[in-house]
Amino acid sequence: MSTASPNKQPQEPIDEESLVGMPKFIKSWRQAYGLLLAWLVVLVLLLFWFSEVWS
Amino acid sequence: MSWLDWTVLALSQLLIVVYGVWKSRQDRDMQSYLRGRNMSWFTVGLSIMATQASAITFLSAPGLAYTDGMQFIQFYFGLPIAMVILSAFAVPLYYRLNVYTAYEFLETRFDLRTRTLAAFLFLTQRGLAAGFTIFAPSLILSSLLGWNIYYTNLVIGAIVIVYTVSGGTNAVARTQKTQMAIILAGMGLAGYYVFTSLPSGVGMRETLTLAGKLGKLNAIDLDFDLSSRYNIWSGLIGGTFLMLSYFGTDQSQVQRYLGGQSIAQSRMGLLFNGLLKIPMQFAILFVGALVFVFYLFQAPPVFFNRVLLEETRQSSVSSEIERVEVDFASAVAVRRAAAFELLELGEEDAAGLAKLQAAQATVDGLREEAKAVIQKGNPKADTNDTNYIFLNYVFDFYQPA
Repeated sequence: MSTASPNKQPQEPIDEESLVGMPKFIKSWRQAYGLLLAWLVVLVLLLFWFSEVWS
Repeated sequence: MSWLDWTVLALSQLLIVVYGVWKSRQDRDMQSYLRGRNMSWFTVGLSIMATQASAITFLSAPGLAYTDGMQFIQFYFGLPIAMVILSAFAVPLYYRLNVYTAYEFLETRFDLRTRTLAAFLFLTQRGLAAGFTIFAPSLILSSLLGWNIYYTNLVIGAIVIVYTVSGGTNAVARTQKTQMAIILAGMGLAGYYVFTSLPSGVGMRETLTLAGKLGKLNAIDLDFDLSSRYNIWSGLIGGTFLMLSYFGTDQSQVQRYLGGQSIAQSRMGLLFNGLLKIPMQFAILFVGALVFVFYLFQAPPVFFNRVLLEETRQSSVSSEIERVEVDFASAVAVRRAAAFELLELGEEDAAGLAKLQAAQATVDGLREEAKAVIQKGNPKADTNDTNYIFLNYVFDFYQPA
C-alpha cells in the first residue's frame, strides 16, 4: 500500500545542469563545488594561522 | 522592563509571525503548503542555517569558547564537504522522485515498513529535541519577565504551532529568515558591547593576546588523537558523516531545501550554508573569547548556574562552598593583576606570561573544586555550566531596569 499523496502535482521536467541565479563566472556545478571546497581549505589555513599567531 | 523593551518584544514576535503567514498567503494547494517550492536560494540558505542553529547554539557556543577555547569550530569542517555531496547526489534524487519527505524515498526504494520506521524515529527524536529548543528561549524569557516557565513554554509553543499550521513550509522558512537576521544582529551587538566594556587600554590586540596566551584561540588541533573530541580529523571525517546524515536524511532540513524554486535554487541554498557556516560559528565563538577576556577584569561567579550555586549556599555544604568562593575571589584578583602586568611588560615577557597562566590554572582549579562541592551537596546536580556563561554575562551587565 502506498501512502503517496493523491494531491501531488505531476513532475515538471528537471534541468539538473541549470545554473540560473549563479554568478556569471561559474560555468558548471562541478566548478561551484570545487570553489566551495577551495573555500574550506582557505578557511582552515586562515584558522591555523590565527591559532599560531595568537597562541 | 521599560515600555520600550516590551514594545520591541511584542512587535518583533507579532511581526515575525504576521510576515511569515502573509508572505505565504497564496499557498492554497497541498504542494505549496507542504513543500513550498517558491523560495529563493537566499531564503533556503538562511532557513537551513536557522534550523540548525537554535537558541541553544547561541547560548552554548560562546560558553564553549570560554571554557575550552575555539576548537569547537573544527566540528563544522565536514559541513561544506557534506553540502557538496548532497547537492551533487541527494538533491537531484529527491527532485527526480518528486517527494515531500526524505522518508518517501525509502518507500520507493524499499517498502512502506522502512518508511514508517524512519518517519517514526524522526518524529520521536525531533519531538524530544523540540522540547529543548522551546525550553531554551523560555528559560531566558521567564527569567527576564518573571513569568512561570511552564506558561512561557506554552505561549512560545502556541505561537510556533499557529504560524506553522496556518502558513505551512513557506511561513516556517520565511519566519526563520527573519529570526536568523535578528539573532545574528543580536550576536554582533553583544560582541560589540563586550569589547567596548573592556578596561581602557585593552584594545583588540591586547584582547587577542590575553585570550590566545590563555588557550582560548586554539582553533586548530592537528593531532590525530582518538580521545580528543575536537580536532581537524574528527571534524573532517566525523563531521562530514554527521552533516551528511543530518542534512541528507533529517526531514527538518530536507524540507528546507526542497522548498527551493528550482533544483538550482535548492543547491545554491545548501552551498550558501557551506560558505557561511564556519565564518558564522567563528564569530559566535569569538564572542565567547571576548566574554572570557571581559571576565579577566570583572569578577565572575565561581559557578555560572546561579540558581544551583544559591541552592548549594543554602545546603549542608554551605561552609565549603563559601570557603571556595572566598578563595576564588582572591584568585580572580591575582589573575586580574597578572593580566594587567603582562600587558604592561609585553606579551613576550616569559615571567609575566607564566604568572598569568599559573593564576588561570588556580582559577580553573577552584572552579573544579566548586563543582565538586555542588555535586557533593546535590549528587543529581548538573555541574556543566557552559550554557549559562553567556546568559550570565547578559544578565549581569544588561539586565533591564
